[in-house]
Amino acid sequence: MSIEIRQLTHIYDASTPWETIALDRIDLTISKGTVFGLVGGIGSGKSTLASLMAGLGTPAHGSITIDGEPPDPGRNVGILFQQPEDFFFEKTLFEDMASGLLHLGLTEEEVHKRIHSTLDLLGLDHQILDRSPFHLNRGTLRLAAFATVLTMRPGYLILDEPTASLDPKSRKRLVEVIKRISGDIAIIYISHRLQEVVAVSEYLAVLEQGKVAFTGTVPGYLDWATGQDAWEYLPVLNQVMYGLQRLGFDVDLNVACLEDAVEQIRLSLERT
Amino acid sequence: MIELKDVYFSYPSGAVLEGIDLTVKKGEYVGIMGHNGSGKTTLARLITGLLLPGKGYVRVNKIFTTDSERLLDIRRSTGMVFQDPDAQAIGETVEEDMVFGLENLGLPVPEIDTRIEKYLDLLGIRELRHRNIRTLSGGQKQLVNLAAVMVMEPECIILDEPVSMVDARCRKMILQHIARLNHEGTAIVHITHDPEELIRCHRLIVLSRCRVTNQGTPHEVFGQLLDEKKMDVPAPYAISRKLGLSPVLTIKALLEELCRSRSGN
Ligand SMILES: Nc1ncnc2c1ncn2[C@@H]1O[C@H](COP(=O)(O)OP(=O)(O)OP(=O)(O)O)[C@@H](O)[C@H]1O
Ligand SMILES: Nc1ncnc2c1ncn2[C@@H]1O[C@H](COP(=O)(O)OP(=O)(O)OP(=O)(O)O)[C@@H](O)[C@H]1O
Ligand SMILES: [Mg+2]
Ligand SMILES: [Mg+2]
Repeated sequence: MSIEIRQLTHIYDASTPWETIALDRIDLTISKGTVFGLVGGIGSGKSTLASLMAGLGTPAHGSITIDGEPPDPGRNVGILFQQPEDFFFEKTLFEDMASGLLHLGLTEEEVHKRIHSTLDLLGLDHQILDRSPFHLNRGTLRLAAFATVLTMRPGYLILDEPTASLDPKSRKRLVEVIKRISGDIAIIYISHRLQEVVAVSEYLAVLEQGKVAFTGTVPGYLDWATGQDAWEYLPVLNQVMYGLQRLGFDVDLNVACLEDAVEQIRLSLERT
Repeated sequence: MIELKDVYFSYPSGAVLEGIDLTVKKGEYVGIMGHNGSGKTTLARLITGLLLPGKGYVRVNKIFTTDSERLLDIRRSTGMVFQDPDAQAIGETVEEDMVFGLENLGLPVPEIDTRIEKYLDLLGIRELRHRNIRTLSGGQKQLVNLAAVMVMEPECIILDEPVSMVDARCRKMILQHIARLNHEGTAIVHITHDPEELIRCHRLIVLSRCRVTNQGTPHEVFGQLLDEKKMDVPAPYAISRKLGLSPVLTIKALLEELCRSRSGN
């Protein structure tokens, strides 16, 4: 049960002066029951890979299969786009959220049930359903977009920058929800917030100019980043720990949270 | 240069701002934080005259934003990087988008050209000059939007979550440029959910429940936020405080503090 990506290449505007090789012979396997982090600089190909995994567009070369089948958006895979605000069209948020579900052939009763239970899961006020999506503040709109993909209950869920524009409280909530649902499904988690990526993911991959620069476990990733002294690839807390290690402090590189980091530093200070 | 006096604003859905007093002096760097829906974007729109207050007033260089005849002067002295990267662009290509505003300023063609080149180079996106904006990646769009505002060289730049979609290296680069512009005299109003972005600002403001709840230097406000456990503060600040060191805002300063504390033992 997995997404298999084999020798995937994608080129935009081929044979023009703007030709961009967005993905260059990518090989990745993403298994059910895991959260898979995907990071990399701007323009490195993350959103392109996300769209192709979601069955939108055809790759120039190579293949993507989901449980052996081609990706079928709304059926075996769901995606939260990096800019979901572009995908709202209706007069009310409810109509927007319901349209995809009705399209899947669900009864109206089931549609209502799913939408309301998902809003509860995310702690969203049900009153927003009657409002125009265009009149919502950005963070709320993005949470609503996340809720919309969740109602589709995809077995493979791709999240492209799900926490951009969210305040710390909503971010925490979203991460909790991801941890809760990830047991049964696979989640591909794209983000520039490295602290968050290492906290939610079990495995992760780094894209650099369309190529896979690293793939492996989270501790493996931290070792990879420190091995080449790439501070910009380390989450803030790990930067602190790495800096301390280099100054001869006896601390672990891999810390789970701020309290953990503080405790480690305290112990290390006591030992000296 | 910007003055909000007892400003009230409501949408039909309800009150958003109630009794806001805020001034931004020439060359000042003001940071604004606040939870989702607290009214940050609304405030930014009020400053640029895109929205008008229901009560109270907003002035930019002494011009009331209600003075429709002089709205153009306000638009010239303030430039805003929008929260939604797709809401800002007017042109098709990156170049067209930047040319548009500069032509309106009445600059001669050669100067337009050199200015565009200067700012694209500054942000490291020279190769995007002839690209269609809609086909850019999320982070590339944010860089282009920044360049399009910087190129106008306004007296005040308003940034509504300007780096929410860029990687760490790029964020650092952008923040350095913002700080340098500020150093050279540009006033900055910087809205964000990430306290780390605001360590260089002169004054930090927190919006909550329609009002300003905290205001002061980053050190003062982060101190209050940490005590109130209300919001995130920069990790180095939280760590230094929890360890009982003198509070610091950067990793570099934290490491120095820790070395000092180790040799003191
Ligand atoms: N529709 C398109 N037409 C032409 N080029 C494109 C198109 N979409 C993306 N590109 C280019 O392909 C490259 C990869 O873009 P992509 O959006 O996949 O990057 P990304 O890793 O998601 O970046 P970001 O972190 O900034 O969102 C970039 O150079 C981008 O400009
Ligand atoms: N065009 C509009 N019509 C009606 N209500 C609106 C409109 N824009 C915003 N609101 C409401 O006004 C309040 C403040 O919105 P605003 O966009 O200023 O918040 P914000 O602090 O920028 O939030 P975020 O962090 O999510 O960007 C919210 O409750 C929002 O739903
Ligand atoms: Mg992207
Ligand atoms: Mg906003």
